[in-house]
Amino acid sequence: MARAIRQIGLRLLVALLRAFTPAAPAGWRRSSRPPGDLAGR
Amino acid sequence: MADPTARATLGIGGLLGHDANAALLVDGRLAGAAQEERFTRHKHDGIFPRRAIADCLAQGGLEADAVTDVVFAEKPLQAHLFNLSGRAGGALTRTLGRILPEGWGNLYGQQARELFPRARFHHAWHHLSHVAGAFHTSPFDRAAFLCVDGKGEDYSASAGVIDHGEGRMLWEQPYENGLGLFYTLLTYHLGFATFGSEYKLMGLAPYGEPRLTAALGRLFTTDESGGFRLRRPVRFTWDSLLAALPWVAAETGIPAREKSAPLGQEHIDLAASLQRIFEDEIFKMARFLRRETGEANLLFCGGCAQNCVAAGKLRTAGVFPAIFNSPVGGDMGSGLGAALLLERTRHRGTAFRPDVRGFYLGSEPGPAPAAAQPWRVAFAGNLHDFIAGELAAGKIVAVVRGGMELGARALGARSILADPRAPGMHSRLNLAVKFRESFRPFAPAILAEHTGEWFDSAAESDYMNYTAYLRPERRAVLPGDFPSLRARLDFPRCSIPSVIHVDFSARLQTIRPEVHPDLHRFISAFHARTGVPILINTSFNVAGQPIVRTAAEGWDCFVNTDIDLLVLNDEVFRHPGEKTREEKITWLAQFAKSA
Repeated sequence: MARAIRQIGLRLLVALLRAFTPAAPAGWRRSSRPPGDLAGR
Repeated sequence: MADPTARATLGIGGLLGHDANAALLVDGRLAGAAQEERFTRHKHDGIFPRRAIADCLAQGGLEADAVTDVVFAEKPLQAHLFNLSGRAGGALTRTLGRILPEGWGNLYGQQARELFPRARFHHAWHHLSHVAGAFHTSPFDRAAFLCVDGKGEDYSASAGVIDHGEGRMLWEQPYENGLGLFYTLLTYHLGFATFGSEYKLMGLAPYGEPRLTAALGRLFTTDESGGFRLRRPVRFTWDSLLAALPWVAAETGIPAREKSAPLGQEHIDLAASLQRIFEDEIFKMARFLRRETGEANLLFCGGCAQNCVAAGKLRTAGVFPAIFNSPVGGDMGSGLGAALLLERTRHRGTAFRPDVRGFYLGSEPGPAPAAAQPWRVAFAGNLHDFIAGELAAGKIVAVVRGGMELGARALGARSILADPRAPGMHSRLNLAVKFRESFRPFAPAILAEHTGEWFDSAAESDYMNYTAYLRPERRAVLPGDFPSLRARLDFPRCSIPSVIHVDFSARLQTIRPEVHPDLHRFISAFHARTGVPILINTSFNVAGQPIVRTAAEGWDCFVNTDIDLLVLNDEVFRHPGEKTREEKITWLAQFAKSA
């Protein structure tokens, strides 16, 4: 059961990513990576 | 006794499944760094680097529970999201990175948590780990950086500026099918389908003519800034790369070569064409970066920066007035880079630069094995003079002394040394000692103060990270044509043919006493005897085998090869000569899969 829920969650996540993350064209693009993103947990 | 209040930062690299490594900083001091392959004896091993970590802790005099911070050289969640969706990340994935566990998909996560239950865990962007590794081991306070490799989390190249340790990634090339993967794809196509074999093509390229650049150009798109992408979405997996080989064959007209098949001129020309394209793209990227940032210094890092031919040409061309190509800017030093990236937060406003001790950052070899004792050589005078005399007499000498090197190259602590003037030494080393392809050159280790007398550049290359060219007056006149690759290789093109490639290039290691004190003494003694300030320096291993680590491993490799003398710590041993050729080949076979 838990596995099935995880699989559904994963598929939803992938669909969400594909829907809201456009394919990037070739070449350099401006980076949005936050440089100091090193918070410890 | 270690200070219990010390801040101990452990960097771990290898999450992408290869070249696992670790580095330890204790209150900003670099205690040690090592690669797991040296312990497991599997080249490019990507398992959790438990033994490399233990080695670092031992060197730092710490127990595991004293580690305060563990930092991984990648953000697994971001890589995982990319692998799942096939889309390079953006605002949404960055947001998810703050909500979901950042270490989701971390191959090492559970083992690391068990080993370091009290530590805080961090994940660094993969390319920023490379950049930090390069920056904090460079002479620069401020620089532009160009990081190009096979795959970051979801990108293949990045560029930006780093100022006193504060890095800003300004541009990136999304997806993994970029310049690094292109080089790997062609490496596989030409029959060198073992991980990390790209350097073989770089060594092959000088034999060929770059007449196939147009054919290769059908495989990718590019622009004036080096914005490079393969026309097909090839992934950085074994299956995807193999599946793409028919496409390469169709576009180039050259079928994929089997590993055991002979190298034809078309294969060699394909390697030359690939190297030409690679250099052109790197130059375009560097010019773009220089134009956009106006910076005077360039850090060249990532796996592609190990292409020392491109790095050497980039430096000579002067696209940037100064360039630094770090020996740990690739995956083998990614743990060190990640640790430095985190540690620099304690040194804001300063150019934090720990003592890297010539990158001799691993443990000592331990004592010579008992089996070696009957073969110990008694000699008068000091070790360096004695060995210099043996080298000058044409002997091949293996050296296992001091801390082990970090990175792909032996820098004199786990090396094989030989006389570059000796006729046939190149073939002898390749075929009877290294058991590898005959076309590949050896590196000259040269006293730094004499570099300009022999080569067209006197600039430093402390870690074999740049090529230079033999000065014209030291070159022989070559015939117009050669009947074979072998004939071209064997032609006496200069007085030190074993370390000069057929195009007169050489992958230099410039030797300074403050960086390589022991190797400097060996070469100085050889120079005093012969007038030549150069020795062959190649890694102490055979094809497919990681570089030896301990004295026992050194002895094992020694007795199974045709090396004449072995230096273990301060002792010298002669070869027992007890193994038959068949026994040696049987021993060698265990490394064949990685060769």
